[in-house]
Amino acid sequence: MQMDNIRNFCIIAHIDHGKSTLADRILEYTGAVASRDMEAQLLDNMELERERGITIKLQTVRLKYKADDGKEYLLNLIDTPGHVDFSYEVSRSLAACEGALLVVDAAQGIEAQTLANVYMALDHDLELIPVINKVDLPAADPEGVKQQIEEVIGLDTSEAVLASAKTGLGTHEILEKIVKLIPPPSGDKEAPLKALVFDSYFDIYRGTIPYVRVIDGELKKGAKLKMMNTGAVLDVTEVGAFTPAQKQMDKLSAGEVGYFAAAIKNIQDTRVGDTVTDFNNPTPFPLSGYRPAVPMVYCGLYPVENNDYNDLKDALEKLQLNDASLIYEPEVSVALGFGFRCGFLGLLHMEIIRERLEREYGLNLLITAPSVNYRVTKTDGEVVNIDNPTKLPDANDRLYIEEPFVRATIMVPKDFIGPIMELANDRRGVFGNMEYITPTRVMLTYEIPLSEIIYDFFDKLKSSTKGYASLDYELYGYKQTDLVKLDILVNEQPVDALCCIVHKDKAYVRGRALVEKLRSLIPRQLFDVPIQAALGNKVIARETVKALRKDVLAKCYGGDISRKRKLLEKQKEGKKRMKQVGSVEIPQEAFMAVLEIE
Amino acid sequence: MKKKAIQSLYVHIPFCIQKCNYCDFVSYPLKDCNELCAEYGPLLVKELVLYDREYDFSRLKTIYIGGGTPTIYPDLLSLIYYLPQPKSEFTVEANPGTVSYDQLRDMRQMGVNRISFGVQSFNDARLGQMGRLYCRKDVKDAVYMAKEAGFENISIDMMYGLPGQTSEEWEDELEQAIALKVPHISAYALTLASGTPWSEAVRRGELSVNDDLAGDMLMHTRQQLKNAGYNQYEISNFSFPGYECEHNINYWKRANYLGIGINASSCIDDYRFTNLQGREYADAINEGHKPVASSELLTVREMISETIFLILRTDRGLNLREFKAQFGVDIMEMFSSEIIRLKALGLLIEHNGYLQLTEKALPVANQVFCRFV
Repeated sequence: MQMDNIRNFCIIAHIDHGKSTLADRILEYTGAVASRDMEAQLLDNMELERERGITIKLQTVRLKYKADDGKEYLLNLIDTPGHVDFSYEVSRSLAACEGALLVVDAAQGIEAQTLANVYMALDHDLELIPVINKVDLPAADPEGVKQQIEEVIGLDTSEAVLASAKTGLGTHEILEKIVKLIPPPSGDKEAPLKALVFDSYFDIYRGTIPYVRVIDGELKKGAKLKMMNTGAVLDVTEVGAFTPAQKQMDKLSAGEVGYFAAAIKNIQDTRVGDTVTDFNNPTPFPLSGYRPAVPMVYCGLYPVENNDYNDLKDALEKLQLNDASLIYEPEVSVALGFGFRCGFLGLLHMEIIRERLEREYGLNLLITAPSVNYRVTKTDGEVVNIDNPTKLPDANDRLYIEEPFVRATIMVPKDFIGPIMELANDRRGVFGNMEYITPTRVMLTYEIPLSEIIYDFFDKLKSSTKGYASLDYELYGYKQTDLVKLDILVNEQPVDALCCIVHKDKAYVRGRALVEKLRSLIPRQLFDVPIQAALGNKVIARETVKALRKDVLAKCYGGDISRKRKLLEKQKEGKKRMKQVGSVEIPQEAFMAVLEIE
Repeated sequence: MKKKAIQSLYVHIPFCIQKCNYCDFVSYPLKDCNELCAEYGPLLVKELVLYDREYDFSRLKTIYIGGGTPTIYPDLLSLIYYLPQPKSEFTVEANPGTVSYDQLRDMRQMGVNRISFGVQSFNDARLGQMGRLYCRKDVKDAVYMAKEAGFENISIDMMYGLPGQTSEEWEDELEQAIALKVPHISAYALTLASGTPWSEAVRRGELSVNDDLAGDMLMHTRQQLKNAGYNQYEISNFSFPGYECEHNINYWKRANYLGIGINASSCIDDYRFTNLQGREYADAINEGHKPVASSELLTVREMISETIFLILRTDRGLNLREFKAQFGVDIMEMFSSEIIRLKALGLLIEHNGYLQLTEKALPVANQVFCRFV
């Protein structure tokens, strides 16, 4: 295919604004998939994704489209994840495209996350085609939304398409605009190979399969390749594209998008963002923008049953084959035994991994409260990174602690400015800026500690604005703050898995709330169990789980025995889900209690 | 095929004058079921005949006629006449408000040798609240009549942990029970069964019960009755030495028992089954079928669980040698970590070849039992 007839594009949209549905319509219209074969939203193909209605893993598809000008075009639709946790992956997908559809809900208008992705797309010089979706809704205000796009983004909306992905309205027009407005790729077929890895997945027979966009040169079956950042050397066994089924080809040329297989056993060899080149005839410079995976959130994952440790290890290994941003290393907790410290891109990513471990691998897991990565400068000048509160050096040994801050962008109808400011202040946010993007909508920026965002900030934001607020944030650096380690003692013994790092001013309130929460979660045992929160040696809050005084059925005669046995079996099952810490049985939820306190 | 020996027979009489506010047993108001009542005795006898080919009743040790209220069942005496004679213990449950001297004397003469009165309380206000149709004086009269009629082995059932009941009130109840000088007392903590008027009232917040206090009352009952010469031979049962209820001990030993009548349950080795209710029960028998509503075949593992949690309810506990002989495994090996842990918690002891609950374990015995299921 001539490069002039290739169009590489992606879709930028806020969650629920209809990205996946629009992708389905495009697939149908171009005949890539017959409508009867469509499982709703074909591009979201992980079970979890479909349940949550969000796209986590990227998918890409190669489409043929015969345009009104009579020419046949090759369209590569590159799907992007729709959650703030995955912004680096989004940036790499954008880098593989020349253009993007900017899908905005005609009733809801622009949201913070869309805006963040739009700016990212503009950074990559992408041609943006506004698509006003859901125009068939009674509350649709296409003209208002157009005006918003012009004012907020500064984008000309004269070429905007009014569409309804649900009914298929506008699909043809969108395809025509893609052909007309998005520039064809500009690469040099004769130059040494230079290709961008923008995603990968793991196939049990063929190893890790990277998805690539060829910038220059050709990627051929049988070639010897080199990954410029990881240094891995690979022999290509297969080259192909997704139609959406995998279709083998002889080569991928400059401007094209597809996949290759090279018996890659380690996903770390094919990190998203890396540059693929020819081993014998390499390109002089890799593509810019590569970034190793940087987890934002860490937590401990432990098997409830100690003997499941190896199963958990195997499961993490397998998941990592498909998810390079998951990192983990073994750790030992006094309370929980052997487990893993895992790093995630964000809380959603963490939740997804946990659910997959439980669902796909049948593991019964304990998860400790998430933590961010703190930077501690010790009195001897050494700087250490602490991703587990237990490991915080003693107060006497540290000079100061720094914690990661994010710049948060919140968009909200102006009536909710008050509650947002209150929430941000409560979360130690420092006000940055407020801007009216329309007469009724404002954009607020705050600098907030990441640790305050990762818990329930988003939920609180939604609930205090009737769901109208949208949030985007990016990490911007570390700041010194006054942090302390809050220890939790259960039955006089500190439980390492329950300790947390909190701001000094909040230590008392948190400690109190935490012990109250734990009192309600820890079932009564055969003895009184004191639960204490302490700063150093100083106990700042205490509750007691009173000893169990009655747990026996009074009557047990001929007709009661079966029922009784079943009750006891149930009771035993309940105990199985608890972790024995010292002589106390602590339920799984208790380790996440810190997340649920007000 | 060799017939299986039945050690105990339970006969359910599902008729009451009215249902008590806490009761979830299957029972029907007598006035609403004259037809079933008239037919009931012959049905029971026919049911027994259905089992005659499979089971051997010649070594039957105990019979227990329970309810409901057996003493309001008009054909009780003829029923007793048709039942096989047990070798050792024949109990009839009696309601203190509905027995007469003549009835007691006749039963005694026909071989009934143990009478169990559902007393529950000596407090007239409490009795009224529970929906029981007699007063304190009736209880004393009934026990007196039973003694006069020749019953030596008399038991009374008492209930504690009632809504609003204080420790003092319960101590007073026990004092009055002791004063009757009967050789056997059962003391049950109230169990709120769903669907009963009391459980509904608790749900609506109109009544409240205190489980912690009930646990304390259990320990207190043990002490107060011990001082009066009663031994706690099972979690809810107390007796003078030699007056333990053999029928109930058979349940806890997991001996074979057959239950006949509406909703009665049976257990023969690894087979448990429960009878139909109401008309369905009668129809099945009239058509010559066993009136079984549900049954289950237990695995060895389930039988082991049952054996352990049932026998641990008794003061003698589990005989380690017998257990090994029966199941071919050593319980101390099979549950070594559980037993070590329970011993460390002070809930279980090993004594003269028996595994027993400690005193401390009695009110929280499920914490022990659930380790073995």
